[in-house]
Amino acid sequence: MRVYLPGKASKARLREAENARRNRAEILKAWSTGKVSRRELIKMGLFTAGGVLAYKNGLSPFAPSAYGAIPTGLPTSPLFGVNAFTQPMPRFDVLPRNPVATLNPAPTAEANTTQQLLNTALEGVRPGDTGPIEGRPPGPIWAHQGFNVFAPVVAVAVTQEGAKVNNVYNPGVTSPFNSGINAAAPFPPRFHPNLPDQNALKLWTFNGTLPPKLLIGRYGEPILFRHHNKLPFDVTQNGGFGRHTISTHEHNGHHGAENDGFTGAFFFPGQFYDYHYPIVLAGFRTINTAATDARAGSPNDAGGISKVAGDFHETMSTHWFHDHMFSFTSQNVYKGNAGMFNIYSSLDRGNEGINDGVNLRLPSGTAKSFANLEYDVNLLLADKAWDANGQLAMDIFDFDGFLGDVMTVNLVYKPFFEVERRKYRFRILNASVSRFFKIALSDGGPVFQIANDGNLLPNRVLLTELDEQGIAERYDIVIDFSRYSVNDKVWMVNLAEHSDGKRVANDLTLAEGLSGQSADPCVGKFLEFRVVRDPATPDVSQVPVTLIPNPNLAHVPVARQRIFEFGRGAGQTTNDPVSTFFGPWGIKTDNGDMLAADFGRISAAPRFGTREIWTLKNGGGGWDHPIHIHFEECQTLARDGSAANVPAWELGRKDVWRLRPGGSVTITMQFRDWGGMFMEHCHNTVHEDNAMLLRWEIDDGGAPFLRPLPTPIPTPQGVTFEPPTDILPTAF
Amino acid sequence: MKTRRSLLSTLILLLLVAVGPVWGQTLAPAVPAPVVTKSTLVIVIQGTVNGPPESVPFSGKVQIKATAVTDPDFGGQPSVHLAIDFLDVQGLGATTRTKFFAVEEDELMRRLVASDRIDLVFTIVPDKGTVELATVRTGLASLTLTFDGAGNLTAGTGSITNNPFAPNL
Repeated sequence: MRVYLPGKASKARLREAENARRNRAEILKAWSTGKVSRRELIKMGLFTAGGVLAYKNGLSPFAPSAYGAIPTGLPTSPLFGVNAFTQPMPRFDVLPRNPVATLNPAPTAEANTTQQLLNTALEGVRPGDTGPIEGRPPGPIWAHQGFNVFAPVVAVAVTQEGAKVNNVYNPGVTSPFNSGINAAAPFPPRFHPNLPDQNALKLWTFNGTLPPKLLIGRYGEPILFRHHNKLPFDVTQNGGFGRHTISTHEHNGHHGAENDGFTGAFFFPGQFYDYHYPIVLAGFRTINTAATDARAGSPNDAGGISKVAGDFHETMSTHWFHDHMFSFTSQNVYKGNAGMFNIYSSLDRGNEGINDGVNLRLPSGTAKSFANLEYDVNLLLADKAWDANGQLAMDIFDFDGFLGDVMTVNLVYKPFFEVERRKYRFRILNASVSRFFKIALSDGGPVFQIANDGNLLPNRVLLTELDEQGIAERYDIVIDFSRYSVNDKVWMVNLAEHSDGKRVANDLTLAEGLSGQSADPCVGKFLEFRVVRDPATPDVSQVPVTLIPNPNLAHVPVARQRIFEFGRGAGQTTNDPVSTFFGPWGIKTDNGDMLAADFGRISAAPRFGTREIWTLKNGGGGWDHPIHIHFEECQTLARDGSAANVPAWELGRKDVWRLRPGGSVTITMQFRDWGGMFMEHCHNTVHEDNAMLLRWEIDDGGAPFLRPLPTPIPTPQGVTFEPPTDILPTAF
Repeated sequence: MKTRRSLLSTLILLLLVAVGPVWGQTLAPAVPAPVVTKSTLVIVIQGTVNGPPESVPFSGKVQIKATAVTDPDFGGQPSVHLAIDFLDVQGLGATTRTKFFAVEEDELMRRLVASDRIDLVFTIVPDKGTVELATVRTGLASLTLTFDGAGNLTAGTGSITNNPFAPNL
């Protein structure tokens, strides 16, 4: 089965598929304007019992065609004559870091409930209604934990808004390190200079601009991340997909729940939400509390180390942040709600020149005391699709998972990147909706994988191709371009072939991937490296054999074990109009029923200060699920029941695991430092939205919070609280 | 356009019809469980990587763990996950007599077929000294794997040659 129609398909077949796409878009429009709910669509029979859009010609592009018996797919995205590797890859746009005093109003521990007049285009708002200026749930439970101890030092203010030209692009490097891009020139919201500008309703990004944004942080320097929602007040003004309410997850920050981007703690246009990122090492309350270990530290501005409390083994490096709106994460992230977050530490300094016995000296640069980006490159990989007008398009009714047919890197179409003959670090993020990648260099050249999900590995791993990379997984690798000569080219290649959004159909060999024979348009070369010069100064970076050993958990007893099975055929036992959702996907907890998502339901409640072992099982053979657990990094104990099945690149800490068809993963995790409600879900965000997500919370025994925690129910007029809709029998 | 009009009409009509309660306490039927078949095979592999600075004839073993999984829910084609690990594949440089290891660990999801050929690029690292990306050589391992009808990996062969994707490196 082809995911997309071939370019040589007949005009009649293309027209038929386009009509099907428009019909689906009309259903979406009816839904987004409130004329019909998803539940009603299911009741109408427009979805099958399994939750899949009715398989009928004229509605589903996957239905047998009137012009042929072979199921096909969507029309291919028009490229308007644009060729691959004809534009430079833009480096991320570094977000300004300002003093907290620049924020007006000043941030507060509890949500700022100052009232403002509401726009009547918001749903449920009558003339004269008022609501709080901050969308964070009010009161002490959702107050910033440790707000005084970890008072914010750096303020980063961003907006979420429709596409516009970027006139303040800051790549953090000079033009020669950005493939010749003139950052002072206006940067239009286009996937290529010769493709159309994206409509403001189609592309919703941080600050409304491209390239994607990079947040810079370091341990011991708390950040106040103020997120203004400037999306349209009218929920129907979404360009066909996406929701104007948002909740921003700092993936995978070790923060209190009020800063985690809980799926039910969303906020509305016209509001802001203050996220407080303390940037602490896990275990700071019990380990190295006197901050005497230089390996637990932060780079200071003088090139030295400012020691911090906590366990240096828990040091993290490569995060990202993205929307987590309940049932709309896939659409909002696809529309552009995704950025990356580099966290620097005494070990991972972002300065390869400092030789103090602590700094690992990974490829980066030397000009600044920390966070040098010349040789430390963020890559955001995502497959996209666009309509006949070149505008971003998405099929929200494919509950298997959505696949695009155009590869983008840093949100531009198949670019090139100029490199010097030396070592580079690449922080690779899979920011797709449903697509997995498997990356290699086109010549089979060697790389070191040094980090997995933002955690430097215990030991570097020498590879010629990476493992599959599921959605939200981050792989940090080092490539040494001194292997090549000036004017050489080498390409990054994707070998993971999909035929639908459920799982990878076939991991191709390099020869197969480069052959051009795959029906999947996102297989093959997607990023061209052009070796343009020798470095001006010698490469002093290093890739040590040993990076960050795992935390030793031998002395931490296991309080209990839980089993979560991820599969299809979920039911729903609750019916709260805000917190419940029904979809084909679901989760079984401790061998109970397969349940669809309800963020009012508590599925697990580990005790504060304990460690548990969780087994994540894939209940089916026809799909894969990249499962993400929020809050603190885990160690992988076993795959399919055996520690011997854990590959070298998964021997460190992780927060997303591909379960593989019919497979299982056993992990261990601690619940400490902070409290509140968190999530566990599939990061194939179509699966997550439909409805493979659960809530778990840290059981503090009722002090200082409540047991169980009340569920926030946001409205423009303010957030109310409800008791949990359900508490599973094995939760507490 | 005919289809679109009829769809909208259907939507509106159905919206006006208040169907009885179908929500709440809804539990869907169980999805059939897949059949998972695990097998492990160790095969002999040998061959020579030629070219500068010297040719290296390799021999050793490759372990392949295969996990075949059916898809009874969707009726899709079975898949097989392969965990491939080189076990002590080594050789002596033809000129310097330096000992080298062929190193490769990879995991692949493949469509389950009776006979599958898999080519993998591997790295060549010296027995002593540091491994530098700048100088690591590569070779190509070609594996032919045979599966029975149940998805068991029953036989395999392997050979080593030059990496055709990087003839000068």
